[in-house]
Amino acid sequence: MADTSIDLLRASIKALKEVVAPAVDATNPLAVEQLRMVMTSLSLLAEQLPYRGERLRFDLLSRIGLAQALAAVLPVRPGSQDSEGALRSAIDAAQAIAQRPDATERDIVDATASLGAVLAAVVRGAAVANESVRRAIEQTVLAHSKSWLDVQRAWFLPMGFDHEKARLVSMPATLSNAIPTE
Amino acid sequence: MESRADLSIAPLTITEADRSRPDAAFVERMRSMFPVEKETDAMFTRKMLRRTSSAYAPVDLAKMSGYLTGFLKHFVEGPFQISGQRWFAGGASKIQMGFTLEWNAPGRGPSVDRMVIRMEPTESINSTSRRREHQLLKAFAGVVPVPQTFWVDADAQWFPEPALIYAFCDGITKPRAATSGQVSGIGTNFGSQLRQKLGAQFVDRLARIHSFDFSRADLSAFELPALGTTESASKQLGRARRTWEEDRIDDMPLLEVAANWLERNLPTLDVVSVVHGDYRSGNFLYDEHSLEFTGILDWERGYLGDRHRDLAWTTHQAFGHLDEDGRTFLVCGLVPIDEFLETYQRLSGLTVDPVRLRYYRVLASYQIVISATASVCRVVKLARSHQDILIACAEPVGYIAAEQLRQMLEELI
Repeated sequence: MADTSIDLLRASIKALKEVVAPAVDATNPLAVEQLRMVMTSLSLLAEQLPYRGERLRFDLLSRIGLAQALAAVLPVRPGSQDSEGALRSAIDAAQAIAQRPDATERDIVDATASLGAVLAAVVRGAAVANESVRRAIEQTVLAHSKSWLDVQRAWFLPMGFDHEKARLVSMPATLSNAIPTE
Repeated sequence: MESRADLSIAPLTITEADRSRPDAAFVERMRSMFPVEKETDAMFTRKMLRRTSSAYAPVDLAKMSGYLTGFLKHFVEGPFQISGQRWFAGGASKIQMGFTLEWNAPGRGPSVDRMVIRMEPTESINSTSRRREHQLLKAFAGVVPVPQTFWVDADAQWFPEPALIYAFCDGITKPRAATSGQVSGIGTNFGSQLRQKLGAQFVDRLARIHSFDFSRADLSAFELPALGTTESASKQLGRARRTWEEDRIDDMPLLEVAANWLERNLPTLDVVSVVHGDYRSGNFLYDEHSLEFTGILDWERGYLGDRHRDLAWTTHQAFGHLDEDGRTFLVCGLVPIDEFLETYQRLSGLTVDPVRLRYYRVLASYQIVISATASVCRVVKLARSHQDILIACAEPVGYIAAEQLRQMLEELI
């Protein structure tokens, strides 16, 4: 049976707009405001839900790409348990999930979170590294963060906040432009 | 040659459970890692301890009226009557109920006053002090337009959460027809007709706030930072870092880069000013006919410190937009940025130091990202506010600010 989740969301929005909204007490500003936000949020989900899986996978691949780039700028110390070793282990674990065709959304989200924690720790550790290592680490993070931020912003485009809508265009367009290195 | 310390990995011992159900040990750890002002520390500590000990409890108008009646019985002499209780919308962080009080006002006799209760939700996206807000409103009465403040229940003895009661202030935050600024007035487009008159007042009032002599005001809930030191900036950064560690639902390596840069570049303080903390469109009221400012609101982030924090916050891209020419950035949709800073210096007699301004621009972006992607998501995830849906809609602001932060850091690192 075909999945009808999007139709269900659109039906919900229609009901809120045509039936519920006219019945809401116009003198209750919290109710009026929150109803508007509910409709906006459901509209966002109706538009972006088809890309949710791609977004989650992109987040994981993006972090793997950043982790690999950081591993390349960290000095290698074979057998050590410091940043480089921890990062290598985290990359291996994340790649194992990324390459598994049967990985669930939960697997992907957890792997992304685990790798993110190691990445954040590496960057925090850079604060006490010598200047050249620190700069290399920080510049790598800045360079890799752009495509990740573009995808997060593209997800929320239907909310209407973003002044760069013309550049970001849409979720599928942004995802196709933001191919992380695996 | 690297030393081992050069590449040590920072501890990875903060878990989602620590944040969603913190114990006393975790709270103490955060307190020791990130020193902040005493009153701020009390608010953060309260927030974290209550995450574990106190469930979300929705309030309705009847319950709020009951708390209010109990409070007034204690603080008002003689008979009184409350009526016209109603919710206010627009703010993202506090519960606000309007009401009318008929009472025998000290010094005025029988009076009818429209008032507002401003109360914390079970957990706010800003852990701030009602006591401090009350003191600032009192201090600035007659200096800039502020609502008269009546009472504060700073320790939640009468209301379920800390609350402030002040006079209702007539006015609007944006043109009635505006389609922008739908979340907390962020990004309001006032239109070219209103800009000049509102913009002139907007700069003038900020100059007055920063040049205000606070030496005789009761600001006992505030700490006076030392001049010529980095204490003030360090505590503001500590506040932001503590918020990030306590609230976030995910990691963001970009924010660790920002924190590193902010720690390396802490500026010294040249002049102590009252900093409003959230001076922007959405947080001032004006009369829609005369266009005169009627009230400057939301002093909850106020502190004694560096004026450049306000200047950086107010001029942040998230709160303004480009003019119709598509090139000129209008501060909060009101004043071209060069004109804003030039007029501010002339009116306040205070200088604008580009190095300090740059620092606080990075800090302001860092704070906005943390607020929108950590505190917002945490409160919504734990369902601890009366308006989770409104708060949730602020998340995208964080990613826009994060890109601005990223671009600034690319120029600096």
